[in-house]
Amino acid sequence: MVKKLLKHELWALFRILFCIAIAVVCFAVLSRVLLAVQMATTTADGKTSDVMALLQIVSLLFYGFAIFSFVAVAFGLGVHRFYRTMFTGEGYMTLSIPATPMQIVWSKLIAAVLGILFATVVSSASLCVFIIDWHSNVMQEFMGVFGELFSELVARVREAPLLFAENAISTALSLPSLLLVAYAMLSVGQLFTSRRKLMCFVLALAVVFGIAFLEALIVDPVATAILGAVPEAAVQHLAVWLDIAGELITDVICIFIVRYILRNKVNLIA
Amino acid sequence: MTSEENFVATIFECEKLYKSYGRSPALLGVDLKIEAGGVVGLLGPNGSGKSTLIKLAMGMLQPTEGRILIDGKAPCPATKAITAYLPDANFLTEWMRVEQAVAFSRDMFADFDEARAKGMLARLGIDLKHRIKSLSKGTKEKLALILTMARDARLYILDEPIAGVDPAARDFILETVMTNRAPGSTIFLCTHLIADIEPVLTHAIFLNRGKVVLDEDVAAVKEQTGKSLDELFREEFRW
Repeated sequence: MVKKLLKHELWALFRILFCIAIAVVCFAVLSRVLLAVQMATTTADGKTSDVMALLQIVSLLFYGFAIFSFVAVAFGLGVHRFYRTMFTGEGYMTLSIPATPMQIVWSKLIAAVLGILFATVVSSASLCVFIIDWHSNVMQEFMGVFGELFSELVARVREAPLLFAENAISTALSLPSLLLVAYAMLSVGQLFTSRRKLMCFVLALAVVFGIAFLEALIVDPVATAILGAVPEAAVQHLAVWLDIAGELITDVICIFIVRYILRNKVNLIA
Repeated sequence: MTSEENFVATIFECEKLYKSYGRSPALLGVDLKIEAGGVVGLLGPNGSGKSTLIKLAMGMLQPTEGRILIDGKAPCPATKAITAYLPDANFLTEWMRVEQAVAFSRDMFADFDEARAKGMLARLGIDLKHRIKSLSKGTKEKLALILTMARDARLYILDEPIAGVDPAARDFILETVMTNRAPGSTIFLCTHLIADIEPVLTHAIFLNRGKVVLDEDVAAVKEQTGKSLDELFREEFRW
């Protein structure tokens, strides 16, 4: 059942994400074309048309906004789909399906994570379109900077491969964690019979401030005490593992909240 | 009939069922036992608790007290697999095309008969390529009904299927319901339009302000009172 649910979830998400991806790539191509035109019309003393310069700036602004907002939009779509298909009119269909609440949630979570990864990859890959056939000096400088960054990364991986892997795991876990926190907030919010979206927003703020408060007052001092008691060589590893443990604990709590609410407290009053 | 056979034949059961929305009670100690087969009318005025009872049966709401059983089980994936539900709200996904909605039902429900669904859609002239949001309100309701009745379920729960439609459409809906139900299945028709559905009902439940005030076979009611359900309803729910 999860496969079937996932198939439909992916279609529902990617029908929008593909359109945005095409727009992002088009902005990259447009920016590249305008840059090429601007460079071709630049005089020997470096003067260029004001109109071209303005167009170039505007296109770069739109492109920059597009690549950063694409990932945010993918996240928002994943969260929106959870709310819409569980707690609005579409919930009648979703909750009629012979699937357990967790099968439904897993399908939505996996689809949302894949959507966000897709957005990240497309945003990054669109930069390649942007730098095709760049002016040779600029290209060399650009590739030089990338080369230095890449060499630095390779050196760090060689120096501490385990630490690199631990950081990669922590980063990978953060994405589903964010989604699960959002799902938990929405599930708690639907317990209220009115002003549900407002209650979800208030809950989200409360959780954010609550976590920050807990971290500052309890988690950080405890972590500092623990880290102070271990050998220096192990400090970085332990710090990352404490992060991973925190994320996993958050994930488990959120899963239990969502599961409990969907099994026992769902309140479909659309 | 032995108690074991009786248990197996009970498709819908409520035991001391209470449901409140905050401080507002919706159901007050509902006890029901409905045998499989037949067409059951869940009848009552607006706000009597009909939709609440239906949503409890589908696991979309949770009881405050008591329990509700479908085929001997609390609402769960197994009961949803044998129950086809038509809510009184629009549950269709607006961005989908009709064929996508059919494919979705085919994938999610093992008892969904795609050929039957397409046949009914063709009879109504509903193009599979149309987007659901471009359909009229009445056509959306017919599509929703077709997606529900194209299943070979053991229990069909239809919440206000004929409210807000013209008399010709009502006849079509009732004809669709009666001709497409799986053999031996039970139909739960939840409505306040008694006169239209009385001819097809075999059992009637009157619900008033969260309480069951009548739970009888239609034939027995007519024999005992000499009145039609519509007349009884008007008497019972007179303002």
